Amino acid sequence: MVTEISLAIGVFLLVLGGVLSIIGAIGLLRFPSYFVRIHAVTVSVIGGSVVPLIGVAFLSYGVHGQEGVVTSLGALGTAAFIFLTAPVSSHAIARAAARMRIPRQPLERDHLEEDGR
Amino acid sequence: MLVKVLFTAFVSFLVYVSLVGSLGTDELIIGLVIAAIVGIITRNLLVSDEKKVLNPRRWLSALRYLAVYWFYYEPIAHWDVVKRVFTMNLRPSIVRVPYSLKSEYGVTAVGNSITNTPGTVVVDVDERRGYYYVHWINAPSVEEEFCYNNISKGFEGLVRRFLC
Repeated sequence: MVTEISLAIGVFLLVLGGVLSIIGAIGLLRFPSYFVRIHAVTVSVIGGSVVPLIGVAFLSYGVHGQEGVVTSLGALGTAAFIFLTAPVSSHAIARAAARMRIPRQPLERDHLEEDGR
Repeated sequence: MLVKVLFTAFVSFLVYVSLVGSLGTDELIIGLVIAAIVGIITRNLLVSDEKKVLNPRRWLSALRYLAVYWFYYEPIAHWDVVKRVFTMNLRPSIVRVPYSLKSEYGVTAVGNSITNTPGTVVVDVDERRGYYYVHWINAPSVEEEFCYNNISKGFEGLVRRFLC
């Protein structure tokens, strides 16, 4: 029973991750500027990478039972690493883009510019 | 001192075991040796205060933060940006968001939480004045208090309980 539930959660999270990846890619194409596109990338990274990896952890336990726990641990560890490192890289590229004066329009207010940073 | 070494070694060992993909005796022994070396060398980098590490309330608060973050903030933020991908209803602004946390870990954790939720990205941090500069995909107002209430207040309240 537990393995069946685990399998179902795993499949659901994998499919959800796939859908979010595609939507993130569409956003990447549609959004108007570099800074707005970063938001679409975040959907792909968190929703499209971390969520499916958690799904893999459930799926591995659901398919292999106790033998799949090591794979589950690996998937959870990788998800935790992405979860911890993705915002650092997002912030780094956003900060670099701001410093390089990459066009920020459309932008209604820019406190960064107003504060001379 | 000992707590710092043991905690750092424990975290290193967990990382090693989760990524090596095996629970064999050889791997575990190698993992323990490597974890001990890493723990001794980097003991002062990870832990700043031994008492805080041993406080179970802080660990419970961290778990609460993770649960609220994953089951409340992330789904709402994802749904909001997913809608905007199709409606293209965008009002982007770079806004000042004040913070009052003192510890570096706390400031980083809140900044990471803001960046990890789609719709808000920390572009710059003014550590002297205590501001995040956040690119917000839909900013109804650029008032500092409004931005603080809508972007970082929830994260700060949760993070303050275990990283301050």
